Amino acid sequence: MSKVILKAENVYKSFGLTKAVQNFSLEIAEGEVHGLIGENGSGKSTFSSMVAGVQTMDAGQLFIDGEPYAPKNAIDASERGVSLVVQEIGTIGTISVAANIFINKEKQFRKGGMIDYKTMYAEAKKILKRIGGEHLDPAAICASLNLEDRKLVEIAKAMYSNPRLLIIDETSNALATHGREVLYQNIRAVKESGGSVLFITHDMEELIEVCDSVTIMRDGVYVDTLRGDEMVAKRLKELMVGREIADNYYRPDFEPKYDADTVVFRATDICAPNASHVSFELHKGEILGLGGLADCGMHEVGRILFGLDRKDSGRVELADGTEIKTPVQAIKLGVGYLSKNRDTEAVILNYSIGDNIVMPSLPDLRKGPFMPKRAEREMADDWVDQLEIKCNGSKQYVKELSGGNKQKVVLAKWLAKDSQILIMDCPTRGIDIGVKEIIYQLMMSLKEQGKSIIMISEEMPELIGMSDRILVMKDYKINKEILRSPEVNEQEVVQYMV
Amino acid sequence: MADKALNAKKYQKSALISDLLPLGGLIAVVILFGILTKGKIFSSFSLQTIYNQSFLYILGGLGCAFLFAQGAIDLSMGAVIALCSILGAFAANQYGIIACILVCLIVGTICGTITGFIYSHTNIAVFILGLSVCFLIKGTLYQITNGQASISIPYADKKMFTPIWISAVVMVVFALIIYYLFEYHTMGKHSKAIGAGIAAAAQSGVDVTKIKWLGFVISGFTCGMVAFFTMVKTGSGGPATGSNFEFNVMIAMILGGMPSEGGARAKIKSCFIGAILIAFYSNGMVLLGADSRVQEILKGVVFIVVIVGTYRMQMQAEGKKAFQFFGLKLAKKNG
Repeated sequence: MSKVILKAENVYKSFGLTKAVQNFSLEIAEGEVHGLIGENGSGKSTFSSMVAGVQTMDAGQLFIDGEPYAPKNAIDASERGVSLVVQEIGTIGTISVAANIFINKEKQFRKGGMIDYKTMYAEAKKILKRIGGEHLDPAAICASLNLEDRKLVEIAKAMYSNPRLLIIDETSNALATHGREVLYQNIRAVKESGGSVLFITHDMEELIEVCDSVTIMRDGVYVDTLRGDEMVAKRLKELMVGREIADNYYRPDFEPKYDADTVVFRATDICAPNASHVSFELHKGEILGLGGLADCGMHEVGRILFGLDRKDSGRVELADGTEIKTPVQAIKLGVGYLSKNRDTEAVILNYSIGDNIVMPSLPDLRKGPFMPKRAEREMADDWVDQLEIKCNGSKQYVKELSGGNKQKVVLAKWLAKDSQILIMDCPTRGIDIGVKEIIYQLMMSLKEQGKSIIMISEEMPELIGMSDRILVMKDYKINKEILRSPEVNEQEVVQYMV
Repeated sequence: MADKALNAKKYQKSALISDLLPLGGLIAVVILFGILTKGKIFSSFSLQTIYNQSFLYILGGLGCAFLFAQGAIDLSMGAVIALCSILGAFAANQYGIIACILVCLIVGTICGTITGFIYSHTNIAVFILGLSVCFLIKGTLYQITNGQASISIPYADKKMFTPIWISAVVMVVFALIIYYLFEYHTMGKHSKAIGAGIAAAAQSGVDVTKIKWLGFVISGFTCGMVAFFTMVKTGSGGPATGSNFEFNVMIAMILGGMPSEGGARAKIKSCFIGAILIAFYSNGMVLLGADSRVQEILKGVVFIVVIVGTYRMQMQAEGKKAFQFFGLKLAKKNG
């Protein structure tokens, strides 16, 4: 057996009443890429952030190279050779790329009490080149970069210290093909230098390809560790969810099925900085997929449809001609919107689950001059039960929920309002299989009730698997309309995107 | 599930503890000064002083409660009060007391409407806006009053509104209206949602522009009310009327448990608890014969201790981080 780099023994961590990690043990050998999977809220990120010193353990022990290891903060961790690339944005937007890479390590560039930026930028350039981010300017302010490049900066920051243990927490979500290549290349580099990698991801294929072994967590508890050939997608999914799941959780039928004679929603000739002459009609009971690359303008179109962003020209209206100009109007007219930025835009984190759910329905709940608190509570509790939101009751704050459960809160919000038209921007982004399945089922049942959905998505299988019609966008324009049929495949859709 | 119900109960309990902290602080201060002054603080004269002192701050707090819930503040309050009082005093001398009341309320509301319009339609930072409006109004006032310190209102008018029951009725009615708007109306709910997360609020059907605007309108109206009652108390209105009012209200609100960032924890009771707490403290100190400068110093220390303490305890009640404060461990750590 080769040398063990990280050893975790009986680790515990709770947040308030939520037991995030319980009696968890793990070993990672030298030169091993170890995967860690589990549904949202299963404790993966909590565990990794404890190893990286971002959070402290309640109980348990960690060892690095056999030495006891109890990091108080990220600086401690980095001194022991542990680097973390986080799930969310882990760079500081208001300072430069180089300043981000050398954060807390600026001393080496000190020259007579001042920081020698020239040397610092040169050094940053070297590192960026080493990790495959040579197109980045070290002097650029981080906020001016796109999400993918910011992730590269973070990778550079983590790689700079030649980590013994590199922790990557669901970073590939934010990366496109090139970015992923860079990431894998760096994982290999750590491996070859005798370090190890703890790799957290939702993407099964990626996991199986990159990792040597994988540990499954469920509800904060260790489930199993699989190695090499044992790592099969279906087996992993079952261990994660804790029950058998269908191979295919998308729609079973392959025919477009909606009321083509009844238009419910119409966009006419929308022009905006990121949209050019976008027109389409949405029908009763239709799931309309809006696909394309991340910057094709589809996300912006979604915002315009809901009245969030201004458009230069064009008209968004219901079938009867009522125009939609602001979110307040849209909601009143029965249009709901799920933002892709769940934590900042779709849910109010520091607000209770109940308040989040009833927010759009408040005007309907009102009886005379009074807002009946009981009706509010009943509505909230009802939806918490119906969607099986995992929580300690509807008074709990949303920030304490896992990603999947937060998304359920967003859905509950619009279901409670009985919105007839839903604009869903990346409805399953960063969500594990269990909740994904539920969301797809929900979309189907909404469709059967005659509600209509516009699904904006960057994920090919989801677009093909769920949509009655797919509108493929490219360069801010609708490039192609594809009807549902068994023949539609990913290659066909992709060719209209690029 | 029994387990789930139990968890929910525990959760509510921890929330309750952090809710009750400011009230606990008030009771502690009352008892402390009750003992130190050997009960003198409860004499009818002392209580009346405490009432008079806290009354205006309670009104002011109620008026800007919506802004606080949104995570905003109105730093122009003092200046608006000064403006209302001068114009009000002028009206009182020319046209009588009814005109004075109307002028105060209308001028206050207009000021709030204008400031609110700018605040809700631009991206200007709220404290910069408040300060600018404050300078603008104060500068103008010193110009038009020609350095005259203040304008008196007719004594008979002052006398007519002096009885405590009038201010008490006004306060109770106003408090009830604000409480209703805050807890049972979209105005309050939406204000809190803006404080908790403005982008998400906007996407949940909150008319952010309107709510921000109305927050200032209500605050302006209240300034008019405060201006009138300040004149009733002092007998005159001038450029110095209401100076530092906004800061005193702010301190009272924070001491009363109002979170400075607004959001779900914003409560109307904070206006009362904080204002009464400060009034008890100041009077207690006077009764104890403390030097006014020493009083100020102690005030600073006490406020810092109270605010740090409240914050820490709230953190702990939320189960964030275990801590000990002066060796005191109030809330048991969960889990």
